[in-house]
Amino acid sequence: MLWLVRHELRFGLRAVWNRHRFAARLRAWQVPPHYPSETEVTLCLLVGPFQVGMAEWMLATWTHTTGREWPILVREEPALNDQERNRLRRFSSRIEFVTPEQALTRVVPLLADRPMIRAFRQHHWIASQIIDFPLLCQSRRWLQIDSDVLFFRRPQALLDWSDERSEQPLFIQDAGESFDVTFSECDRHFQCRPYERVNLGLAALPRSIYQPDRFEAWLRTPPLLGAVTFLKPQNLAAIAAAALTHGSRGGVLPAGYQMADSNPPDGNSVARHYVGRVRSLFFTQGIPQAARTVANLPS
Amino acid sequence: MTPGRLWYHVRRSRGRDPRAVLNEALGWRRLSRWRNPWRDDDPQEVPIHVVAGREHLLMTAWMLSSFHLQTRRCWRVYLHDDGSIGYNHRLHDLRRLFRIRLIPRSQADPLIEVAAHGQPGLRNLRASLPLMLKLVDVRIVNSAPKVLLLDPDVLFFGRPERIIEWAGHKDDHTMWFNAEPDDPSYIDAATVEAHVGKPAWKGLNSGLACLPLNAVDLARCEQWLLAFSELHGTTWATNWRVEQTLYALCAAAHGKGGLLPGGQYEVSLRSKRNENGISRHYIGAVRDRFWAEGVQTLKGQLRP
Repeated sequence: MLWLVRHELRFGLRAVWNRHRFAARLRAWQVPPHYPSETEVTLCLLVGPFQVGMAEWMLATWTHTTGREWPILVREEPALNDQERNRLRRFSSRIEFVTPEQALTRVVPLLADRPMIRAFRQHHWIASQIIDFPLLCQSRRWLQIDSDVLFFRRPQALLDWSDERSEQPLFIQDAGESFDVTFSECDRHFQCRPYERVNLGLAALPRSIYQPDRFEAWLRTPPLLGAVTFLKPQNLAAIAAAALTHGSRGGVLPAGYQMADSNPPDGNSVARHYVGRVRSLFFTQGIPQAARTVANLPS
Repeated sequence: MTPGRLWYHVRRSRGRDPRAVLNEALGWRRLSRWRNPWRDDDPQEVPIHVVAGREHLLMTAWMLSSFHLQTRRCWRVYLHDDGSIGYNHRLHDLRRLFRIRLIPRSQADPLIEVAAHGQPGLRNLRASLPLMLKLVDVRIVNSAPKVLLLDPDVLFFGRPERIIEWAGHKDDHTMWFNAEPDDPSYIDAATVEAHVGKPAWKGLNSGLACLPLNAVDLARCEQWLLAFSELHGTTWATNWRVEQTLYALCAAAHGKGGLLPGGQYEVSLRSKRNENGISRHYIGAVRDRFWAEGVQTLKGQLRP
């Protein structure tokens, strides 16, 4: 009980207030029937029971700002219950849930001769971001969006990427570089310079990003072997994207796609990623702004 | 802190030097007030490899602090998890202070399985003896042509010129080790000499080692392992000196370098360290002196 109270209050009283203030509105929100269906690109989420509430906000703002109904793949970690699944089902008629056990039976056989990838996947669930999505997703390209992202304006860059059938990977740019690797190590181990400040919280990826042979080799290299576990998928993505595009720079979402800081969303904010230490701002700043922005959230 | 935990600490502290108890208890707090001024510089080409478990994280932090403090430069550190570290919040403290790369055991194991495929003896030994990570993993996680191997229970009190010089010269492929008064090698010098064809390195201690990785040949280690286990008819897996013995054989075969002067790079069971010493390896019986003497000396040097 005490744990539940602490968990509820972990982002402060204002966060609790905002969460409950707008909860009824969010619950009443449905995808408008006139929204066209997206067929080419799947939306992939990695969600656990404690992220369902945030994922609802993310999906509501995403669906509203894009004006489309998207096929969704939810990789559960840990598994959701039926009630939690139902809360997400209303955002798409084409939503697929994959439990950790199902992922195990579907993904692990495909990694039979890849011990390093398998070990990485077994080591931490975060590996699913870069290992499971390519293997589970039916479409050739997908959007990977964390539950702690909110959209405030039409994400034109992502829609263009989707419509133009682009094979160029796109990432939101992180506030700082998370890959601690020197130039000489890059040349020695990867033969390319990884994309800088890659964050996988909001990314548009083609299937070609998943290069199992190279992943297997890269995961043996000291820079990746010793990378911070939580950041390893994005480090891997940064190298894979650079190798895929032969080192050409780019692949960064425009400045409107922001990593949240203490400043409130401004007129340029298309999307904000409330990661780590500023997670509380998702509730204190993000939700009220999202409720204002998403005009058809019933009041 | 739960009453049980408190009782455990009280019982553990009985008979220990009070300064050791205090310095250990305040260890993380003191380090949290220190900012490593060389943390964000370009790291040296030669990385440091440390094999440690959860119990050694604080010692590792002090060892690395003392080394950075005395060398006044940034070093890349590879921390080989012996399998007990897992997700430890102290890793954040270590990462804040140093350029650390943790090699999780769960990911090192499959790598070693593949890379040491031809050395089943070494692999089996590694599985049962965590100290073997100092030999096998350090060799296979091929981070650079030369590496510095440090134990968590080593502290530096003076500038280790010999090591800095060695690390700075790319073409210097000599091997250097701590010297121990009693030879910890499992095999006597005459046998080594007969087998390798070169003089044995007597008194080699691998607590502090400067290694050119090409001198550590795992295939030959596997041969020695087979040859000497037959010779002595003993179980290698129960012998904790086996990794030092294999290093001694590698050093004898390499033949370049030597043992660091014992007066400066001390490994001893004396209660007091050599005042003019550069480093001291607080082995087994004097481990408590790490806190009572070593950290006591260094704590004043870690200024915020």
